[in-house]
Amino acid sequence: MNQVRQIGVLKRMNWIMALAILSLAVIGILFVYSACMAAGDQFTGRPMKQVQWLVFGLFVFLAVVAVDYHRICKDAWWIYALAVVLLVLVLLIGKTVYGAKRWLALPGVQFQPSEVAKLATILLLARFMSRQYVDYERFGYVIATLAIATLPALLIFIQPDLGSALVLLPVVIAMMFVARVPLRYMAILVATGVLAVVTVLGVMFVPEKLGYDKATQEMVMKSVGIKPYHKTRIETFVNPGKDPLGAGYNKMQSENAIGAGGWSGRGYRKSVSAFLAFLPRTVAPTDFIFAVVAEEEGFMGAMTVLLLYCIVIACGLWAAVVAADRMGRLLCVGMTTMVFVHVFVNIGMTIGLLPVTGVPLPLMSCGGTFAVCTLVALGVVQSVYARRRFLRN
Amino acid sequence: MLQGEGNLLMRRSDIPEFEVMRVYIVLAIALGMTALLGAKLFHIQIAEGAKYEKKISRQSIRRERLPGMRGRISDRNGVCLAESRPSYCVAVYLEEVREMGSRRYTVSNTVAQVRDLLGQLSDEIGVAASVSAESITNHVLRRSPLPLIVWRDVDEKVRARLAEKSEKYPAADIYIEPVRVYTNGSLAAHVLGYVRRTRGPRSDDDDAAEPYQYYRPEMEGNFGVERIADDTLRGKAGAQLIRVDASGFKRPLPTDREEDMILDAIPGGDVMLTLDVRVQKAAEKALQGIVGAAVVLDPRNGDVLALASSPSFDPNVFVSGSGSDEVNRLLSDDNSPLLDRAVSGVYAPGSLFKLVVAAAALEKNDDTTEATTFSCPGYYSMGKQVLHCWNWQNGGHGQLDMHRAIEQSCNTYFCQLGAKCGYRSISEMARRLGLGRRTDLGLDGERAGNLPPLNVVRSKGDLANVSIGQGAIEVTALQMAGLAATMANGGYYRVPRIVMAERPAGGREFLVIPPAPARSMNWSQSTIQTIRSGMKATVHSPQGTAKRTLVEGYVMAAKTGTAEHGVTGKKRNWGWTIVFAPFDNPRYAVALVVEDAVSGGISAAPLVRQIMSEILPIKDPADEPG
Repeated sequence: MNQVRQIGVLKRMNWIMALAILSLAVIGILFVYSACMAAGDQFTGRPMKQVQWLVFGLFVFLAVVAVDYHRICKDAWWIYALAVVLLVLVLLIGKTVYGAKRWLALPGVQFQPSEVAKLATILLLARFMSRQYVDYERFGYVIATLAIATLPALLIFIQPDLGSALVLLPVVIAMMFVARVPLRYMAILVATGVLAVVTVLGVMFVPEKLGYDKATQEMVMKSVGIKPYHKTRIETFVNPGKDPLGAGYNKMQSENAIGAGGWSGRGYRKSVSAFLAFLPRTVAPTDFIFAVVAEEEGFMGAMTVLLLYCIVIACGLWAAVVAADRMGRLLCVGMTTMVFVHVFVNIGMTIGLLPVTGVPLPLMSCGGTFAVCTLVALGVVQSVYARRRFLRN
Repeated sequence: MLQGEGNLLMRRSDIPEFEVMRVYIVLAIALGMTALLGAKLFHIQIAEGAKYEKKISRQSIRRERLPGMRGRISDRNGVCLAESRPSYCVAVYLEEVREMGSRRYTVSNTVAQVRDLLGQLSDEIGVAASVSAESITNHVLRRSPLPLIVWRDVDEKVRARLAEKSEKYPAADIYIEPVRVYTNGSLAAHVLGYVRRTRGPRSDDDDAAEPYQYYRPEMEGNFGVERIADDTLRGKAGAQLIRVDASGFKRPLPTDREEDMILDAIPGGDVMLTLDVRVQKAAEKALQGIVGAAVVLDPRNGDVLALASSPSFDPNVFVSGSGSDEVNRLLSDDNSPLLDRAVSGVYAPGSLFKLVVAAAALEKNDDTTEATTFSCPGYYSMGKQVLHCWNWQNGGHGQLDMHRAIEQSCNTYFCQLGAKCGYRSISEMARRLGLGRRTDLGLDGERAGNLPPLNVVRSKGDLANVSIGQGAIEVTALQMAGLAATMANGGYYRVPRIVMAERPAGGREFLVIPPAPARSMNWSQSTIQTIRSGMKATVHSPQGTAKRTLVEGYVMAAKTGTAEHGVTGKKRNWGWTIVFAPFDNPRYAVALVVEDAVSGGISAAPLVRQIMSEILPIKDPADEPG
C-alpha cells in the first residue's frame, strides 16, 4: 500500500469520537490552566507544557490511525518485551516520588513505563487471543493469557502502584469475555480472585474491627501466612500516608469542592478549593482535575464531561462491533475498557465513591506520558474503525 | 467505491454475532457504571451541595474578635481626661512575605524571611525591631493570617519613609491600633484608675454565633472609673472575618467583599464625671510634695468636684503593659502612690469629731444647749489619769460655751460634753453622718473606717478619747468632706456622686445619673446654727484654730483636727482641716488630711486656703441666669 492510501484512511475514522476526544483535551487544558493559575506563580509553566504534550499526542494519534493495526500487532511481542524491560529498569534506576518508583528519567523527558506497559499488554493480548490455534475450551490457553497480563501487572504492583496494576484486571476480563472464554472458566477465575482478596482482607481487618487486641490479630494473620507489614502495605495502598497531608485529606477536599459546585458551579477560574490550596496544588491539575471542573462548572459541567466520556466509550465499543476481524475487535475492547476504567476509578475517587489511588483522568489530567498513551490507545481504536468491515445491503 | 479493499470486507453471515453481543454487554456495564458516577455526583452536588459549601467556608474563614474602641472620660464640663487615640504601628503581613520568596513554604523559611525583612526595615527606618525570633515563630505558627506588629507608636518621619519605600516593601504597612491615653497625665489618676491589656474571650461574648479563633488586644478597666464604668466604656465587640488558605495564611477570595468580612464593633460609650478639672488641679497642686488626700464636694448635691491623693502616678504607664519598670517602681514605692488615700486611707479624725459630739449633745441631750458651759483648767481628769487640753501650758481655756469650745477646739469641754450625753448618742449621730460605713461612691478600695461598737467604749477614759476623735475611731477624707457638706447645707446628708452622666455604647445622648436624694438629719435650727457659727469663728475669730484657711473677701467656716497615731515615741500626727464656703451659700465642702503633720491648723489649713483661693473665684454656673 502506498503512503497516499494510508493517509486517506484518516478520512474514514469516527469523527464523532474524534470530536469528543478533542473536546475533552481542550476542556482539560482549560481547567489545568485554571487550577495552575489558582495555585500561584510557581506552577504557571505546566499548562503550556501540557499543550505541547497534547499536540504531540495528537500527531502520534493520527500516525497510529494511519498505520494498519495488523502491522502494529505484528510487533506486539517486541513491544511487550521492551515494556517489560522498561518496567524492570524503572525498579532499578527509577526516580522515587512519594516512596514509589514510577518514573524513568530519559534525557529531556521523564515518563512512566507503566503506561506504555498497559498498551503493550493489550496489543499482545489482542494478538495472542485472536490466533487461530488459541482454543479457550482448553484451560491452558486461559492460563497463558493470564500470564501475559500478570507479568507487567506484577512489576507495576511492586513499584508500588496498585492503582495502575489493578486497571489491567477489568481490561483482561473484558477481553476474555468478548473472546468467548467459556463463562465457567471465567467464573472460576473471578471466584478464585474474589476469594483470595476476601480471605486476605478478612484476615487482616476483621479481627481489628471486632476489637481483638494486637496479639490476637497477628496470630490470625500468621495462620494464613500473612505478616503484619503486609497489612500496613495494604493500608498505605488504600490510604497512602506518604502524601504529606494524607490521602484522606485530598479525598475530603475533593468532595467539598465538587459538592460546593452545585448546579452550575462557581464559574471558570473561580474554584475556591484550588485558589486556597485546600485541594493541594500538586494534585489539583493532575489526579483531581475533575474536582476543579465540578466546582467551577457545577453538575452541568461535570455531566457534560461524563457525557463526552460516554461518547468516547460508546464509539470505542462500536468500533469493536464493526471491526473487520477478531484482533481488531479485541483491540477496541481492550483499549476502550482501559480508558473507561481510568475514567471510572479517577472520577469515583474524586467524588468519594472509591478509595484514593493515583489514577489520572484520561485526556484531562496534567501529565505527558499518560496523555500520549491515552491518545495512542484511542488511535488504535480509530485505526480499527477506519478499517472496519462494510455492510452490504 | 471500496473495491480495492476487498480483503477487509466480510459478508453478513460472517459476523460473529456472539462476540458482538458480548461487546454490547460490556458497553451496557460501562454505561451503567457511568450512570452510577452521575448519581453520586447528583447526590453530593445537588442534594447535599449546601453542606459542602458550609464546610469550605468553615475551614477557610477565621473569626477575629474586634473590640470596640474604648470610650472617653471627661470632667463635668466636658474636658477630656481619658480617651483612645490611634497609635501608628508598623506591621508585617506574612502572606506577603511568603509571596515574595520562591522557596517552598515551611515555618522556618517564613521565619527566616520575616527576620531578613525586619533587618532591612530596621536599616531603612533607623529603629531596631524589638521582636524576638521566638515571637516571630509563635506568630507564624499560631497567628499567621494576622499582621505581626513590629514597631509600635512610630512617628511621622518613620511613616513617611515607609510610605516612600512601599513598593520595595509590600509586606510592611502601617497598622493602626487604638491606645488609651490619659490626656492630663496623672491628673485625677486615682479616680480614673487604669486599664490593662487583655486578649481573650470576654463574658459578654457569649451571644456570638461562632467562636473566635483570634483576639485583638483590648484595654480592660482594672481600677477606678475605668473599672466601674467598664461596661459602658468598652462597647460591643464585632468580628473580622479572615479568609485563609490551606497553609493558614490570609488569602482573600476575589469574590470576598470587604463589607461582608467585617461585623463592625460598637464603639464604647462615654463617661462624664462630676469632677471639675480646675478644682481637681487646685487640690492636687496643694498636695504636691506631701502625703495626704483632699476631697472637694458640692454640698448642694453631693457631687465630688475633686478627689485627690498624694503621691500620685501616671496611669499612662499601665497602657503599654503591666511588666514595665515604671509599674514595678509604683508597686514597690514605700509611699504607695497607687493607694487612693481619699477613700482608702483611714485616719483618726481628731478634733473634727467634736462637731459630731456637739451635734449629738445638742440633739439627743435635752439639757444641752448652745449656752451649756464647761470649765477648762487645761486638763480633763479621768480618775488617776488626766487628758491635757492642747493649750494646757497656758492654763486652759477657762469657762467656755459651745461656740467658743468649737472655735478654740477645747478638749476638756468636749470630754465633759461627751461624758454628759454618752457614747450611744454620739455613735448614733456619727452613723447618721455616714461614719463607720462606705459612702457608696463606688470607687475601688473605699474603706468604711471604724466606729467602735457600744460595748468597746465603756470607761470614762474611752469616752473622753472618743469625744475628741482619738482612740479607735477612724474615718476617710471622703467621709469628712461629707461631714463638712452636711454642716454646709444645713443638715442634709448626701451620698456623694462621681459619675454625672453616661452615654451608653451606641447611644447618642448622655443620660444623667441623678444625685442621691438628700437625707435630712432633722436637726433643729439652733443645732445647725450653733455648729456653723462655731465653725465660722474658727476662721474669723482671732482665737480661731483655722485662721490659716481664710481667703480674703470670703466668709468661710472650718474645723481643724490633729490626731495622734501610733505608740508613744513613734507617734505620728494626722493633720486635718475641713472647710465650707461661702458661708451663706456654700458651694464647696472640703476635707484635707496630711500625714505626719505638725497639726491640722498649721499643716493642713494653709493647703486648704491654697485650694479655696483658686476655686472660690470660679464662676458658679448655677448663678448665671438661664
